Amino acid sequence: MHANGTQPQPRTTTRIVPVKFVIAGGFGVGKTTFVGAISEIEPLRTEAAMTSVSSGIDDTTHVGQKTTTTVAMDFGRITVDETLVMYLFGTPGQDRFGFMWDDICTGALGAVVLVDTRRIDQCFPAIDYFEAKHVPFVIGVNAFQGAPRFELDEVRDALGVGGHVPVLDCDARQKESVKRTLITLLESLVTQARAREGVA
Amino acid sequence: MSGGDEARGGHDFVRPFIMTGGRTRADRRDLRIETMLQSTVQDVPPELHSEQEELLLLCREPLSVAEVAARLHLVVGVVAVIAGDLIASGLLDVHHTDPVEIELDMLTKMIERVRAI
Repeated sequence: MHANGTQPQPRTTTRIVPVKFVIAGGFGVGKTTFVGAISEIEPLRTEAAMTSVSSGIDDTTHVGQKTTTTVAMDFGRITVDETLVMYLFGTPGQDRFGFMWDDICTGALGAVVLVDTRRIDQCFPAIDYFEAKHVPFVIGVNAFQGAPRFELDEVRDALGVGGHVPVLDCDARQKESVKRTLITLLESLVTQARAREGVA
Repeated sequence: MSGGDEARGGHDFVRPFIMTGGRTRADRRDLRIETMLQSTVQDVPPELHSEQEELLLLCREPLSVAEVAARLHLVVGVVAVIAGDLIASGLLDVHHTDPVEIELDMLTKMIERVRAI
């Protein structure tokens, strides 16, 4: 069937558009749960960074001393059609992995920042990052049992985000809630795209 | 370049560095975790080493760098280096997108898809 298969023969392949979304927030805020609630595949786990050494890498003499820093990252997929695929990547929760954010977030179309109202400060690094990189984002306020209840406007004030950033309740365990959060993000992208095109 | 042959230790830990010839950066800097890889050939050329072969077989259907890494139990950086070589040999095709290329109708399709979940 593929008798000539050993020769690299360029095949005409349909162009596929992968679109990346990032799910960020503090440790244990429900990022993987969020991805799992909506992904068509069981969330996959992969290791991101391979080493903390980033220069002089051609010299293997010091391989023995190299500290291998691997960070688990969970992600899921939603296939829209044969040419359009959405990927949802959860960022590593801890601050000390901030150096990897560019690897994960570069090229992201948008982001969801999950907030635990008991530990609201944990989401500040994510918000700062997306604002600095101009990645559009929405805030999902994950309601944990025993967590203080705040009005969404109070959360917005506490986070210091502008009026253009949607803030909504998000229970990562509830599929409908996760869907609503992602749709809110997509709709804000539509609004921005229209504004850019002057169609608003 | 010195020391290329010194990476022959029996350590599992060193193995990724042998697979990638000691490189930790892909030649193709545009490979991202969501970049999709697709084999350009149905059959794998015989001279490839096993990781290259596995990657090509896996990517008969387009898969993202992250999915390949998860399925082959390799870190993302190693997959990027292996893929970079295969791309340079014309055995692997890439699909990727920058946010500016996303058009309104794609956003609309995504919204409809998520609603239908």
